[in-house]
Amino acid sequence: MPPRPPPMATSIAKRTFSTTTTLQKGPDSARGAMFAWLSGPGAVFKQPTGEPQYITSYDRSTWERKDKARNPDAFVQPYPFNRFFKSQPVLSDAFRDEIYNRVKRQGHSVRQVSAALSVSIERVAAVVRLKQVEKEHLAKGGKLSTFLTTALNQMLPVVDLPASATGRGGGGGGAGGGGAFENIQELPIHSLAGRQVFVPTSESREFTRADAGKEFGLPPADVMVPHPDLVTLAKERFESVPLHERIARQEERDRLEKSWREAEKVRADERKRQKKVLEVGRWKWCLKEAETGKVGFRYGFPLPDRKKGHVKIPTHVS
Amino acid sequence: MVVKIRLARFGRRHAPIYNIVVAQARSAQTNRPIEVIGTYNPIPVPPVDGIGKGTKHIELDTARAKYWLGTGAQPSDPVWRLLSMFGLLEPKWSLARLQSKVGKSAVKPKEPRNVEDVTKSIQGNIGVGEPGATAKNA
Repeated sequence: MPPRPPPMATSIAKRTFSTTTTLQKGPDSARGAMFAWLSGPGAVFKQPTGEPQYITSYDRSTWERKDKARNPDAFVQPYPFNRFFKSQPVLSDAFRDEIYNRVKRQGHSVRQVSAALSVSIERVAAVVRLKQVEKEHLAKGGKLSTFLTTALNQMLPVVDLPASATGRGGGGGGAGGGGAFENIQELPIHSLAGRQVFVPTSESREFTRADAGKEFGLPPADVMVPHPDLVTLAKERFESVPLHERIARQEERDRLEKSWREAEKVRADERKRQKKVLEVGRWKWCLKEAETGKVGFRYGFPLPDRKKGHVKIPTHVS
Repeated sequence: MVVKIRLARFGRRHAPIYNIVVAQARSAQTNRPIEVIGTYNPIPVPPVDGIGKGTKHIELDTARAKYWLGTGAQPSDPVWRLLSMFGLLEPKWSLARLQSKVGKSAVKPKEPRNVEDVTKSIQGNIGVGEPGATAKNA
């Protein structure tokens, strides 16, 4: 049992409530060390400097910034104890403008821009869509609230347009430092590829990715990849096909893709023409073009919907 | 006998589904028609996400429908409604409803938009006094 406090002799103002001992208070204590650090090397963390200031990017003994070229990982790790969490880089505004210009003004395809700038197809498409929304909003006289973007740009590595893309020197900078923004050739994992397959083959047989794809019932990885053209280009380079020949082949491939896309557009228009959705009154009306002789219930044939052996519950969601 | 474009009911109890048929007016609903030109499902398919309006599906061979209308086949009222949605007929019942509500002035017969331009261009090409020139110019 603790001793009873002495009877109150002094006035209430003089009485001390602090339980801190002298050891916890002095300049050599942990608390003192913390304040010393805060006013010393820790002062850089007090105010944002305009770029990410992760504590991991500092040497913990000397409190000097690490070499970015030698420890690139230290500059994208915001949580010191979680080395698996990496800050994902973001595109700078100039970069996004360039993507928008190439797609909308210069008429390049999303795939071409993605390959040229090393940004994934989905990201290019998203940038174009959001830029369009932004421009329409501005045209209507709206205002942009850039507070969050500015704050995020100070906390995340921002990648500028690569110098090679602009055709001018300089630029670069950011975390990317002129390298690829992201891996654009990521192979989508199809659920069919998840199963285990044992295929006995002779040792003399050449078993390629195309054969593997066939076993899984999928196209080969070289085709499934977002940019199969880049694979072909790399192969041609490896086979040391002369440059002008490679350019000619690529132009031919581009032409084929363009014609295919135009044909696809025609097909889509045809589908649209055949199917129209109106919204009248309480319902949506799906109007579809049909062909006499194929459409409708036939006379003299009963509906087989009560017959044995038929699956009567719906097997798919339309 | 009159040829009609009408609906023929199929499906079970509480689950109707119709063929859009061309048939003699006096023939029974279940008789074999002259031609089946489409189907109409009056039961709306609920939206996939559960939000918004349900969808009613109509399938129609518009070319055959146009042909039968051209021969003078008489659409029944429900079929008139469906065909007007395809733009093959002037909507009848919505207009009638509008007229009864607002008055006859609300619904005016359609006039070609640029009648004057057409007359002018015709008159520009045809000299005064030639056959085809209007009496006004002569």
